Amino acid sequence: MRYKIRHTTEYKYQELVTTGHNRLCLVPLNSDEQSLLSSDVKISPTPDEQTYVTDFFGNTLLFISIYKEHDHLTIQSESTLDIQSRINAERAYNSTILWHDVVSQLSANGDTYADIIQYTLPSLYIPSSEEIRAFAADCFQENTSLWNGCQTLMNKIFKHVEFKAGFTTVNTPVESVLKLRKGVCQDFAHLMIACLRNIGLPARYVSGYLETFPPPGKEKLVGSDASHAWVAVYFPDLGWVEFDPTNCILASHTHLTIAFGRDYFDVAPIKGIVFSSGNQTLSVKVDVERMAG
Amino acid sequence: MEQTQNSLLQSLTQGYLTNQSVLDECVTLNDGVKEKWKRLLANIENLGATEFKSRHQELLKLLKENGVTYNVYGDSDGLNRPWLLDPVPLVISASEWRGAERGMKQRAYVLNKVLEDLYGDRVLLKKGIIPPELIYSHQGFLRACDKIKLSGDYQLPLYSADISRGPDGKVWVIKDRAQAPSGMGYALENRGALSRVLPELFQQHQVARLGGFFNSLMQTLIQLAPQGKEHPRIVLLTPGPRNETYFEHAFLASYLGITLVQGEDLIMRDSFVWIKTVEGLEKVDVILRRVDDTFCDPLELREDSQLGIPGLLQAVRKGNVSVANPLGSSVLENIGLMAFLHGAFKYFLNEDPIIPMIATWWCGQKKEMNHVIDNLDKLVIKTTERMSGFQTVMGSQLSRSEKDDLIRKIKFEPFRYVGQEEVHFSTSPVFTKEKLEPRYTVLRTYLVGCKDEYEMMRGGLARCSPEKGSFLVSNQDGGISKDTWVESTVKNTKPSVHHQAPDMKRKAVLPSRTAENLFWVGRYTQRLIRTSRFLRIVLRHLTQKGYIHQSNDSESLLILLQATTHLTYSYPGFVEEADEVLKDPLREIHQLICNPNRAGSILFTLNNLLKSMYAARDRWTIDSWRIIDEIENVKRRIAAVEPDGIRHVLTLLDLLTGGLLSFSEMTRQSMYRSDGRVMYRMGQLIEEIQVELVQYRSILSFQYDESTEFQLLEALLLSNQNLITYRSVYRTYLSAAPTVDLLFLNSQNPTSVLSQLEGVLKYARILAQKERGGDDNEISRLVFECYSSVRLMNIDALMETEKDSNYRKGFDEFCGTLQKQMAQVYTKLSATYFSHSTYQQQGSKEGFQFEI
Repeated sequence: MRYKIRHTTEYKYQELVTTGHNRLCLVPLNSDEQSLLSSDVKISPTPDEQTYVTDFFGNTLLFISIYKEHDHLTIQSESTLDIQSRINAERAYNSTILWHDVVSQLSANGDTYADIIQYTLPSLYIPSSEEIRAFAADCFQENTSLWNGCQTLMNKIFKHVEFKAGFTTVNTPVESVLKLRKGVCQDFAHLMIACLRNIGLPARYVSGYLETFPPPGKEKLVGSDASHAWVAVYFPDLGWVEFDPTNCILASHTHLTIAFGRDYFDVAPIKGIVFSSGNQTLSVKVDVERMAG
Repeated sequence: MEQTQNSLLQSLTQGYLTNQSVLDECVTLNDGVKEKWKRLLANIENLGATEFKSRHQELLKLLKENGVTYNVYGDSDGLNRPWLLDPVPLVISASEWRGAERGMKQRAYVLNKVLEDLYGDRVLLKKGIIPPELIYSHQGFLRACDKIKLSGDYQLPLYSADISRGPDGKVWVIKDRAQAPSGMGYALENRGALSRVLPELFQQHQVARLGGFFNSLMQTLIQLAPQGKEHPRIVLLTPGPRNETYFEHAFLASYLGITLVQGEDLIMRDSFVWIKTVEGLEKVDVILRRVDDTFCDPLELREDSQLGIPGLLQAVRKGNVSVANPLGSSVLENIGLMAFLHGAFKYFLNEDPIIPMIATWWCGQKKEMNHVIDNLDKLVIKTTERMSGFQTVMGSQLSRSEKDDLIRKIKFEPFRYVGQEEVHFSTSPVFTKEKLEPRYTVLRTYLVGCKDEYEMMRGGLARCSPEKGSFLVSNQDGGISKDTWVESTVKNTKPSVHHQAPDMKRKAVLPSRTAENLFWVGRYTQRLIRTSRFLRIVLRHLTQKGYIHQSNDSESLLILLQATTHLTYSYPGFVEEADEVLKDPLREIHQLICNPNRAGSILFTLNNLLKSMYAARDRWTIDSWRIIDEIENVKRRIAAVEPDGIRHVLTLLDLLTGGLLSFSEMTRQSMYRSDGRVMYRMGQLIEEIQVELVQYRSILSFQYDESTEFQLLEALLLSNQNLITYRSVYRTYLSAAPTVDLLFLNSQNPTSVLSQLEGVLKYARILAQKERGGDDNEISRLVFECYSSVRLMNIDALMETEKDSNYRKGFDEFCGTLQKQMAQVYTKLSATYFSHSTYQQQGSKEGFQFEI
């Protein structure tokens, strides 16, 4: 499946910004399941410096710096992608490995899984937590397979938390989401990752886009798509298998990956420092368009 | 004499080692004083106990006067706690030292390799030599720094470790310090102070000098410069005056001849790092950092840091600036590593560590965790990194329920905990309450990566527990430091002062922030001097004449009191609805002097002055510090004055002005013709003009009857120290017009508004010249406008009163305009030369939402 993505972010500054540095994580990942055909990031005002960097996780970051006074910043990222369906999802369906065998396999072979092990540990947005552990416990019984455990957990989260924007922010602790029972995709993802890591399973955060469909009979609105986030779980011998707890589905060819990391902090689409003291407003528009061919 | 000597010796040998099961550095139970200490103790005995005690006091006084302090977090008493130095040094024999040196060099070599590997191929993790969980769970492992390499042979140019001697007599490593090791400056200062106050102790000792190490440190920093630049610009990055070891940062920067900067002094632009100076941007090549690594770049590391340079990592990645130690090196301070380093020694060197480490069990491994839990009573429990709410504990000192609680915590997040064998380290003699007492002692050692190998400072910073029998050896808890003597077998050949300070060959720079602080030191100094003098006059009037509300003098007094309110900007004070206040004016005056929380008061301004002085502390000489210390003493005495004892404050105000004047004079002498001096003088002059304008406006804007006017003019001229000049120049009865002439226009009078404006103009032009060659800029033009309007003032016309009133409208407005113009000069100066770059995170976090 071929997609064209247009992701536009605009900041408007109340007071002039004299210098701005930004770290963009907007260039989609090039992987076995997804090939990046083109990527173009247009920025206004034109940055004085632009540098592409491959980060620790293998994602492509773009650092931009603007040294002239500006009152707005517009970042338009356009990319085309070819998506294969997720092979691992199908394989995982048949996987019988027990979840606690995964835990013990990992801790017994730290050297083999050196890289994977970091995804079992707490990170900035993923704390160790008794409450989270208790929430996850009944999904992972003594003889539960990893696959079944993940499915049950995803279902539980989907039922427990209502999708509702405006109740949480990027900084809402995952334990609060459990209590609030409301959140957006990022909260769903963080909660599922937290559950898995708190019982010793490796899980990582995936940032990307989701193709959406208009209600039957209606035209799809321009800019109506959005950034999305979901979860990848590591299955030994298989690799990463992706779950989308917000929609209670496995990630498929409609899930377009930008980057992965331990949590949101590692892959935030735009992070920056601006030299200015005034307020700012932000608007984001995303279009995911399926292309012929 | 004989007796005191005996008692000193007795206190050493008798009762010194009772109840002690651990080794002592100086005395053994069976054989008495060890050979290497005998000469030192003999030297102390020769001095005599009384003399030794008084020298100890002198030593502490010297350190205090030199401004050697250690800031204690959360200490409400202010920024600085005096540094404690024991007069008895720690003596280490040449042969003992050789062993330690060999071991430390080996350890530095291995840790350097470990650091390189952790941010490179991570073979140690892949081979299972270090468990990946241990590294990945530690916040010191900075993923943003992956694959960044410092140019040259060392990823760990500086290394420091705490060592001590165990009960078996062997030296042990207790703790590694790998990111921004502190203490080497204190070690240097300790040596300097001890050799100055107690030179007799050094007799017949061949003590290794410390200077050579700093030479090597400097060479290493120079080598780190990108592209092998010959005369690199090196800066020392400090978190600022609130940091616990700020003294040392300023001290080291001065000693090494490099510029002391805070994060806000630097910016990243075009992938280089620049220092913002009064003359524009200057490129920085090497940053010696004392800021924790996660705080160094808010763009990629801790987003909430205000101590770093946004974009720093970008410049580092491109190899345009070198940071020592590199960002990410705090990963080596993970205590859990102690359990696995043995393997790294084997892997990199195929050797065992020469210096053993304390036996350590990392709970991230099941077997080890169980061992720790089963042996809690014998172990010390630590976390792999600083964690809020957890302090290192000795298992044996916990109650049953505390133990259960700890075990629960360990089982919950095992990878965060380590158990370490409880080792009883050796003691050394500390002089306290006129005798010597054995105290636990830890030595911090320092190494720097040089051309062929690591070089170790031949000495270090020894620290002793503050209480007998206590294991706590930390400066935060009030530890005592010791000079460390390493016996030298060869004559000292290395010069003790380094010859090549790179900044000497470069134009010295004045960071904008320092410029601002110097400017404010100038302003506050003058504000204090002038306000104190005025208050002194007012106080005299109040106390001498026995203030009675209805007396004949009350009108002039009221005007002086109101001027005080204007001058200190402490409205309403005596100005509006002042009946209540006027019943007891001394109470208000007391507040305006002694209440540090009252904005505008003497103590309030004094605190601001001291803050600015600390912030620019690398700019003051030792002599200036001595004066600052004196000023601090006066401050404490003023704060202690009760309202009833307000009369005593007169003497204190005199002392304060005296101190400030000598500080001014000292600064004038020591700050040769530099940008710093320009800023300092600008501050002084602008403040003088503003203070004068307030005074003149509030006293001279109205015409009064002859006797009141006489009293007012006398007070005014007296407070501005112009009375004698007035009498010699005008030879008339005091009257307003000649007074204004003297105070505004007389160019012979150095404090006339015109003379001061002339000074401001001169400095404004110097600055304009540096900026772009011409001597004209917005600021100098503005000052020139003020200057001409004063020059052309028509005094007779200005002093005329409005019809049917005693209001001198013309004069009042003239002063008002001038005040505004001067305020504008300051605003421009600040905008042009002082950088106020506040930054914030991009995007309000609340604004970013996901919608699917």
